Amino acid sequence: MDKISLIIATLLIGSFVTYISRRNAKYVATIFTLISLAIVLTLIQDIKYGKVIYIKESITSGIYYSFALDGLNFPMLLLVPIISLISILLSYRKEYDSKYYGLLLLLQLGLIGVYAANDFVLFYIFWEFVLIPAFFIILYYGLENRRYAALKFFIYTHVGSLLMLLGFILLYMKSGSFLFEDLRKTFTNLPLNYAKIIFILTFVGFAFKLPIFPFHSWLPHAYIQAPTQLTILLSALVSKMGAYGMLRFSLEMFSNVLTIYAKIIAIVGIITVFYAGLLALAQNDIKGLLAYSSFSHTGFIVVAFTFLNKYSISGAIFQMFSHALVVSLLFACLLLLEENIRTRYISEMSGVAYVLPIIGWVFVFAGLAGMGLPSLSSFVAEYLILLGVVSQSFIFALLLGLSVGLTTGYISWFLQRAIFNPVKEELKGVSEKINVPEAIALAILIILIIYFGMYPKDMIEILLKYSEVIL
Amino acid sequence: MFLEYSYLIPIFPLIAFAIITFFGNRLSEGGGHLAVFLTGLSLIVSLGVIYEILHLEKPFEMILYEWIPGIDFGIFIDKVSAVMLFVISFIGFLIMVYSLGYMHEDESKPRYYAEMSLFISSMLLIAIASNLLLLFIGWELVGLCSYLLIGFWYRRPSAASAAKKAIVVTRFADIFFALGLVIAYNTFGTLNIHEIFEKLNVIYATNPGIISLIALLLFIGAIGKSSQFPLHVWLPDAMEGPTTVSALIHAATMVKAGIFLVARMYPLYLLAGDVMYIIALFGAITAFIAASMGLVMTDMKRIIAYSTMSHLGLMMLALGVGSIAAGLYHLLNHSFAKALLFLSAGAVLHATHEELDIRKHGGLRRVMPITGTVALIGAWALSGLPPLSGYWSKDEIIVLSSVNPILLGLAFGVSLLSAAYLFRWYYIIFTGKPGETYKIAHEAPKVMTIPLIILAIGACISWTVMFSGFDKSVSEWVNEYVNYEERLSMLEHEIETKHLEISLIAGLLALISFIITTLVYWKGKIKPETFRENLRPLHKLFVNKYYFDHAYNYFAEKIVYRGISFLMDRLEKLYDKFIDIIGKVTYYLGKVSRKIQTGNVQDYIAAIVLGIIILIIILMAGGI
Repeated sequence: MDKISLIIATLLIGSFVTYISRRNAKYVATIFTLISLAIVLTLIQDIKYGKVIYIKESITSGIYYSFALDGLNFPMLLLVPIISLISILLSYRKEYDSKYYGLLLLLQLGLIGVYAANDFVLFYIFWEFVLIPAFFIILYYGLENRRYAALKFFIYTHVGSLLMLLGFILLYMKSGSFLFEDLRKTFTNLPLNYAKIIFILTFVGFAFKLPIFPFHSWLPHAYIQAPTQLTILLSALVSKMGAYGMLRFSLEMFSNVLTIYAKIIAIVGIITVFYAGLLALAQNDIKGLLAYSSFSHTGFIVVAFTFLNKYSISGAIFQMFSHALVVSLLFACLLLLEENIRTRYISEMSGVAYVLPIIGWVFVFAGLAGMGLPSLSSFVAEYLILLGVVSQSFIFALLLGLSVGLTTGYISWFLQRAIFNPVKEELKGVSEKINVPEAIALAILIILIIYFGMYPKDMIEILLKYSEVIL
Repeated sequence: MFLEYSYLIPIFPLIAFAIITFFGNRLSEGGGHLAVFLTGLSLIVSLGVIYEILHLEKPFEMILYEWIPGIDFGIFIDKVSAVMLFVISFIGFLIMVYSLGYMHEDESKPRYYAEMSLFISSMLLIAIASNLLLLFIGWELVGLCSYLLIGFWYRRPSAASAAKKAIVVTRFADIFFALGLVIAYNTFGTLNIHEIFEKLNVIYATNPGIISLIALLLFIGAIGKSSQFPLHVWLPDAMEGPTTVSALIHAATMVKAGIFLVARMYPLYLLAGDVMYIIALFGAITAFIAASMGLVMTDMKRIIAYSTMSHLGLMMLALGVGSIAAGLYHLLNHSFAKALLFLSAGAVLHATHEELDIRKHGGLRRVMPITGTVALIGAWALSGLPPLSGYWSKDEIIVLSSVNPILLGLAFGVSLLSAAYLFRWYYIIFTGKPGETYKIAHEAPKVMTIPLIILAIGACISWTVMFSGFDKSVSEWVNEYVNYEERLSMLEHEIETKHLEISLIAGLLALISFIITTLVYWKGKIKPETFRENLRPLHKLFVNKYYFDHAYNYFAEKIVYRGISFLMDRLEKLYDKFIDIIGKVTYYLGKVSRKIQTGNVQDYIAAIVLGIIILIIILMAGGI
């Protein structure tokens, strides 16, 4: 059995075992996630050879059971078990039942499948599959408005997927195969108008998932109403499926049409960045602030990948990777904050750093990472993106730069009001409670953010190699 | 032998940071002793390195590791770095020692020493970085430390707010620095400082515009960091931090980073003539407006902060008119004198329960003789009166500014004002009738007074560096890459004839203002109110800080926050409702046409279809 199938089998068995193990579900889920992490870590050996196709078996005509690894999905595959582990560790405190952990493992399974698939049908099955556990987790474990949010999330992204499917069926009609390589070869020889329709349908499909303005209405509801442990997975991994789709298909396969729409997409991306950034400034709910902030930062990826040079593309991929780490840390801090003081509204807290020193200062760290402080991973992504963008457009580089200024503004202002300032009366006497798994989760993220900021070379080399190949 | 180990210079304080962060509570003095020890080690290595580099013809360079392909991190030390290195490690060490006394009673000592150590480490990194990107990392890290240390007493709303202001303003400027970096990389194919210089002439021959653009963008970064007009608003507020922080970060070192950046990239700037003029002009404006604001403030630390700003402006002015030597010379002199002034202020604050209003002090010289004396030396050195340090470099800068009448006018204004605000500060606090704080004030402990005395000696003698041939060797370094000699000799020729007159006028102006200030604030012959009454509009302008803060606050609060961002929030909610309404309409239409309903699934489909139609229309408009 190849490595990816092995991970999928592990997680499938894992979710079942977790579900029936009742009281020990959290430990079982942790162990299975660690196993999948261990297998994923062996991918580091494989990526040295460039693109690796693990398996390619024909199922029926034109549909293959095939998984592959290259510079684009490597960082995401690496992240899936790591972020899932974080999410599980952060769930320990709440007495979630075994169903919850089983669903988390299924979600993880779906994500691995999406990122590793080398055939569109396989990709699409996993893509849809991810929706199901996410939908049920919001529905069963979400906050007060969960029904509305879950449904909105489900329908929105589902319709996005249908458009994508439509586009690929149009492509399949010409190619007769769903294998990525075949799709790519066919696409370049299509008549331009036909190609354009396929491009638009699929791109809009991804735009729903990421999301891009104006297809984002599901995002604030889903992010806010989901239990924060799931919000971490949604923002770090699920929404990245949209970005991954854009890079894998719109860029890698359809680059000849992408060049036609590059400017428009970049403009929509910039609008997303600023629109979401300004909305973040207006939020009183920290979860909303972080949701919009995450939304704003994914806009960076959209702007970057349209510039079609090796730095901006590597930067876009690294931004996917780094943003996942940073946004997870931010939501993790929020989760711990909420569990300690039972509120997530800025106006109801102040002086958090004094009563909850660890959470407060880790929040400061996470905020700085969100601002793209050099020596942290987010700066590497920003640097590469700016480097790539500025070689073609000074205006776009300037706008992206100014959006970093906006980020600095809303994060430092949030820190000023919530984490600093005199301690609020209601918070006096609160003592900080962090259990060991939570501390481990925070430590993993902090170490990774610093490590990839100080020593990004190995990862960047992989990404640059990938970008050079596809261009 | 020290040069090979120069990478240890920033490493030692970094170790202190790491240890104190995790184990600070268990260490003696909250890690203070460890921090002093490790910054001391770093000072020793620095002094060794400086000694060796002064006897070396060529700059020293070594590569440590590859950050990402194409960008190597390493060390580059030359005579410009040596000046900065000396200032940072020497003053940094003294301030760490002083902190042992000043911060003794604070409950958050470990955080203080950890952040200070990180600051010193990052600042040293700026001085010796071989790569502009590594320099930028240090640059942002000192910005971070500045943010954390301004907000050190974060439970004071004013401190939390000042910290935010500092990071927002400086990071806004740093965006342009970062843009300059990426453009430089695309232009030169490297960010290694040495390699950039070697390619300068080739690039200049083909594309002089890009050199100016890079120079301008880097300078905007320097404007933010060195608190130059019009991004100077954060520095006075930064005084919310502990006084040692103000002395180290906001007087002696970090705010010099902008000056250092321009000096470090001086060969580049020499090729960008227009930008040099902008630098000189902005420097002169900063120097003047800061001096005028310093004259009317009543906050003990803010007065010196405005003085810092004014002197930073003078340094920029010197660099802008074409003399790197004068700029660095003033940097060195100012660092000692200003650290001294801040630390004397710190001694006063320490003894008087942090009473910042100078009007509540008076006659403190009698109870704090050492502090009073060193404060006088500091004020004297900076006021531009002979024979202490500040006089020599300031005089040189004012003479240099005579290349342009506007610059000269502003520089004369600075001469007139700086003696006034400095001695006003000194007289009100240390002489005259005993103030409210007189009874509780007492002399500072030895751990504080000894660094003060050392700094005072430094402020008296640092000008002698002039005799070491320092200016020549710095200029020679620049000349290796671009033709600086010719420009310098032109500059010298231009000012030669007026040198003496201008020197005399500047000295006379300083003397007049010194005499007037003495009459007003020490002898009490003239009432300060007379000036206030007769110059009311000017006074109002100065007290309101030229309305810069008002304008920025209005922009940030009213326009961006309450205006645009609230409007967006409304729009977002409306859009959300709109989609729900479309959904409902579809739902009822569906009901009417008796379609089988499974839920309000259709709600969103309609919205989505609408979105696609909009997108397709947009794309059609873009020419499908």
